[in-house]
Amino acid sequence: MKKKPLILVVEDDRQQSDLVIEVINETERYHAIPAYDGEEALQILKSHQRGFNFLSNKIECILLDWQMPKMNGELFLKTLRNEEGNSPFKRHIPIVICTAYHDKERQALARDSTLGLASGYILKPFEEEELLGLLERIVIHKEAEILREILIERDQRWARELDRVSQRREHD
Amino acid sequence: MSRSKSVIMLPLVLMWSLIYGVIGGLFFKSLSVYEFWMISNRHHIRQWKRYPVRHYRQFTTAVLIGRMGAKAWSSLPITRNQITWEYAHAPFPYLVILCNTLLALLYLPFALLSGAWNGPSFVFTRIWQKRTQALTLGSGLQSQ
Repeated sequence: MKKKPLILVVEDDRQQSDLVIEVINETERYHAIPAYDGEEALQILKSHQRGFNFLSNKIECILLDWQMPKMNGELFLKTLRNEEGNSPFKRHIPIVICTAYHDKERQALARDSTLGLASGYILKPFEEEELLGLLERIVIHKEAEILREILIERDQRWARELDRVSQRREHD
Repeated sequence: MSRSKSVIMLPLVLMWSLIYGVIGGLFFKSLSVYEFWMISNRHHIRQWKRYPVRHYRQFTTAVLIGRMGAKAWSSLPITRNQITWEYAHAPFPYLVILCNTLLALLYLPFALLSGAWNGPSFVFTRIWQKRTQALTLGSGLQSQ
């Protein structure tokens, strides 16, 4: 029997974490594992290494909460990508950021601070279909890298647009 | 007692780390090169198949950069038009796959070397960490 792809859910709120895990496991296509802060998530990733850590991790995707007490999403993301940076030819684990920030400024800040290190971005409260659709594209269709590129391009477009608006204001 | 055990264990662990580490390192590193080759090619093929517009845009931009060279900036729109007229669709990424294959073949010997070098240290660290953990757990249980 083929093993189900593993999804790591990094969320400090246990109720929300249980809910997301239930939604993911109910599909019977993936198996979700919880982690309640960034440090625990790094430990779990370490225990799921493959082939002397030369091969890509057993975890296929990480759903990452942005606001966490011990090690927040941004720090976790940067630590992970720094570690992965030591082996440039290895596949980076796709990450989907889950956050409750609604205003565009905070979104842009969060996106900018990740420097395009994530493959997706969903706002809480999100629909089941939105989450599962994203997971399908990342885990089943293996489109994480394309999604990441699209996210970076969109950010660059936003930045250019913001620049244009601020320049126009200065001009006026 | 545990110290004398460590003295006996250390050469055994070193030997095992060396043998298993080198063989495993070579094997897993070659697998990792294959994995890199697969992932990289799949990315381009997927993009060509499922995101044709995006792929076409990237392709024409790459050709445009190549053609512009020392040309004057004023010729940019004409060159772009020429390219879009010449290529109605982006071709299948044969060239990218070929480049990836060459890169993987070029990288393979270095990868094998690094696998043979890093494998033993990885195995040794893992075994020693587990042993230390087991010892501390054992002493903790004894003290209880």
